Formats: sequence, C-alpha cells, structure tokens
Amino acid sequence: MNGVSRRTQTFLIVVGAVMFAAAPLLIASAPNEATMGLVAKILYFHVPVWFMMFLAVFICGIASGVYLFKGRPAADRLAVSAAELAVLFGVMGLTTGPLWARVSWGVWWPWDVRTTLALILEMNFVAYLLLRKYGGPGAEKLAAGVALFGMFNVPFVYVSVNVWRTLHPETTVVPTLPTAMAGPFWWCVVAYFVLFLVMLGGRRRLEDQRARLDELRFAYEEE
Amino acid sequence: MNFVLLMRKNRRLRLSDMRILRTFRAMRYFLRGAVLLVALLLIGSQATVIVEATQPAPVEEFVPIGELPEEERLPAAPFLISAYSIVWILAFGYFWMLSRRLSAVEREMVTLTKRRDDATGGTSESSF
Repeated sequence: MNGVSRRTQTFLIVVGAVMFAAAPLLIASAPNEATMGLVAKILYFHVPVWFMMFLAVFICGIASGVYLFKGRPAADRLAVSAAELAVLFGVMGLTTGPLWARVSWGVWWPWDVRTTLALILEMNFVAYLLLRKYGGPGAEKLAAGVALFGMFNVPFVYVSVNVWRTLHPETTVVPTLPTAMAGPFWWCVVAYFVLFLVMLGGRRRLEDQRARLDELRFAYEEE
Repeated sequence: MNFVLLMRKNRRLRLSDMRILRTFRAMRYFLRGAVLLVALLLIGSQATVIVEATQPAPVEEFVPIGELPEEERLPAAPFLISAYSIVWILAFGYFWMLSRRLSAVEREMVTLTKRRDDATGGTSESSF
C-alpha cells in the first residue's frame, strides 16, 4: 500500500470513528416507530448492515466476473476480500434481524421468503470461502462462478418482500421515512459505508501481501 | 456378544471366520442404528405433539405492540442493546483477526527476505 492509500485509510478511520460516535445520539433522538416502539430502532443498523452486505456481494460478483473472463489476479483478490465482508455483514444482519423479530413479531425466525433467501445468500458466500480455502488448485474459478450465482440472487432477496407479502416491511419503507427518522438512518448508512471501505481496504491489503509472499517464496525456491 | 468375544480370543482365526465376524458386526451396527432411528422418530413425534399442545393459538392478524396485553410484551431495550453490541463485537473481532493475519504474513515476508539476502549475500529493499 503506498503513502496516499495509507493516508486515505487513516482519513476514513477518523471519519468513521466520528460518525459512529455521533450515531447513538442521533438514534436516541429519533422518534419511536408508531406500532413497534423502541425496538424498531434496530432499523438504524440492521438495514445499513444489509446494504453493505449487498454492496460486498456486488463487488465480489463483478470482480469474479472480471477474473473469470479477463483472468486478472487483482480482481480475484478483490473478490475474495469482498466475499469475506459479505459473510461478516450477513452474520450481523442475520443476528440483529431475529432480535427485532422476537419483540415485534413474537418469533425469532419467521421463515418467510425474505429471511430464507437472505440465509441462502449468506450460505452461498460461506460456500465461496470454504471453496477458496479447501477447494485445492483451480478453486478460484469455481468460487468465481459461485459468487456470480450469489450476485444474481440479490435482486430476488430485495424484491421478495414486495412479491411474497409477509410481516417483513416492503421496500417502500426506507424512501418514505419521515425526516426525523431519515436523517439518522442515512447518517448510519454513510457511517457503515465508511466502515465497509476501511474493512475492504484492510482485507485487500492482506490479500496483496499474501500475493507478494507467494512471489517471494517462488523466487526463493528458484534460487 | 459372546460369539464376538470368543472369536477375538481365538488368535488363529481362519479367513471364513473373519468374514462371519465382519458380517455379524455389520448386522449388529445395523440393528443398533435401526433401534436408534425408531427411538428418535418416536421422541420427535411425541415432542411435536407436546409443543403443539402448549403453543398458544396463532394470531390471525398483526397486532401492534402497543395493543398487546402487558404480560405478552417483551422489554425492547435489552434486545436493542444486544443487537447493537453484536454488531460492534463482530466488527472489532474482524479488525482484530485481520490485524493478526496481516502481521503474520508480514512477519513471514521479513523472514523470507532476510533468509534470501543471507543466501545471496546481498540486500533487497522491502517496504511491507
């Protein structure tokens, strides 16, 4: 990582820290949702976490496509970094969701189409990482195919709540949030986006260093 | 069972005896498995009946939390705080894991570069 990237990374860490320090105050000052009450404040981190999961899935899917069709190793390194973040943010979403559901719906897990598809998406990227770790030679291309499949699953996860109506709120909720709730919500979305960028930068750096280490090992064995 | 012990004690077993022993063992495992499966099915079916009997009747429509009787309401704050904490535990856990992996790789790079320099007698630039 060169000096400029390191400076950018530091800047993002500072911005993220400031935003996350202010987030609880903004969330606390936002009004309670009329039917669900206090527990609906999980919205301020449950939804941004899923946004980041989808973003990670798209980055992983597009980078995997570039790797498959153009054969660029840098794209593969970006894909594996994003896949790990997809799993991480997916775990966050899959644990915060049931805590919200238990209070507002009376069940931990409703097995509706949205939750089931989201679980499948998460398992898809767990499979990607397992494939990368234990798949042996050539697993990168197989995993890239799995990532593409996962990426095409995202629109189904997103629109599922509009097509198969359940207790899960529709996609119209976020665009129609009242200003007092929309402000803290979008603040949190930006804060999580900054967190995502910092994490992706760090993970990408690890992958780059691993590639350099492999080159070093190869050069050492050649000599 | 006694048959197996008898066969084990006899050190001069013939090949045909070994085959009988293996078949006997396989049959024994199969029978144990079948018994276990039947027991699990019976327990499962009984558990379903008990759970169904103790569950309250499903609500047909969505009832806002504010309209629920007090004894059916769950305190929201612990769930909200738990959710927020889980997100931060996972995020910090990930950063910790990432820094450990990164430092392990960089340590290995330094070791390898040093070993290479020692072998060639030269010095190579490294900026990890």
